[in-house]
Amino acid sequence: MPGAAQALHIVLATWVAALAALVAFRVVTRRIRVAGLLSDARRRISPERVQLLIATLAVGVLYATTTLRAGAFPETPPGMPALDSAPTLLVAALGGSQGLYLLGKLFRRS
Amino acid sequence: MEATSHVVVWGIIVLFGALSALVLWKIHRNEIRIDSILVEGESAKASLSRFQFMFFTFLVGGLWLFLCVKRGEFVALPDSALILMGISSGTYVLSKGIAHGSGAAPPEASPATATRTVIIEPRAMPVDFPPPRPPTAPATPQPVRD
Repeated sequence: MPGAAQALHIVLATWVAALAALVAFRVVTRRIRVAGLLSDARRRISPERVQLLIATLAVGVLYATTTLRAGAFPETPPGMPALDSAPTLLVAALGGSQGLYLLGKLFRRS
Repeated sequence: MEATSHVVVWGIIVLFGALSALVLWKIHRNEIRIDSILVEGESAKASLSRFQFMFFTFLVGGLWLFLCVKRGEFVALPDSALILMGISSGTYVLSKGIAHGSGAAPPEASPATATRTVIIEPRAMPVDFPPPRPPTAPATPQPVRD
């Protein structure tokens, strides 16, 4: 029943899109609490949190753009992943950013 | 027989759609509250890890559904998407480990063990004071007898 499967996909996609829009609207209008997202335990702006937020948003946008342009998820080449392929670069960027965040956190705690 | 199965399948899809719409409506009316979805435990501070979880879940889920609708078939999730979500969740776990290991942050209280601080405000309480005594006359010195 391809028609039914397609309808189910459309229902699900519409629901996820509506939920994402609702959450995004509430984040923007501060009805979902975002206070302290970029500050540490001492309520000061933390640079590693800022860079992690920027990296997360940038990687997300790049990943979505690559996927939508190609009409498929970006695949890592078979064998050893090439360093210039989109998924490897994105994963490396996000991993490096997370590493910086963790190092900063470890340094501040010690 | 085939017509019956068609009706059942479409009935399930309509039911699923109605359920999804109901959930959205209840969130919109604040009967399902999501205003603390980014807040960690008892603190009033939003968590960057939770934000990342939410962001990548919506991103990968939305892209997957979009591709499924576009192709008209189920699309396999590639390793890159799973790795992106895995990095995010791995960092969350490590971050919690660092916080708990240093003892800087209190452990997140589970609902079963959570305690609540109750502040009792002082109120004016009626107090029964004893009635004031009448002033007593000073004692007169007794004459000294030889």
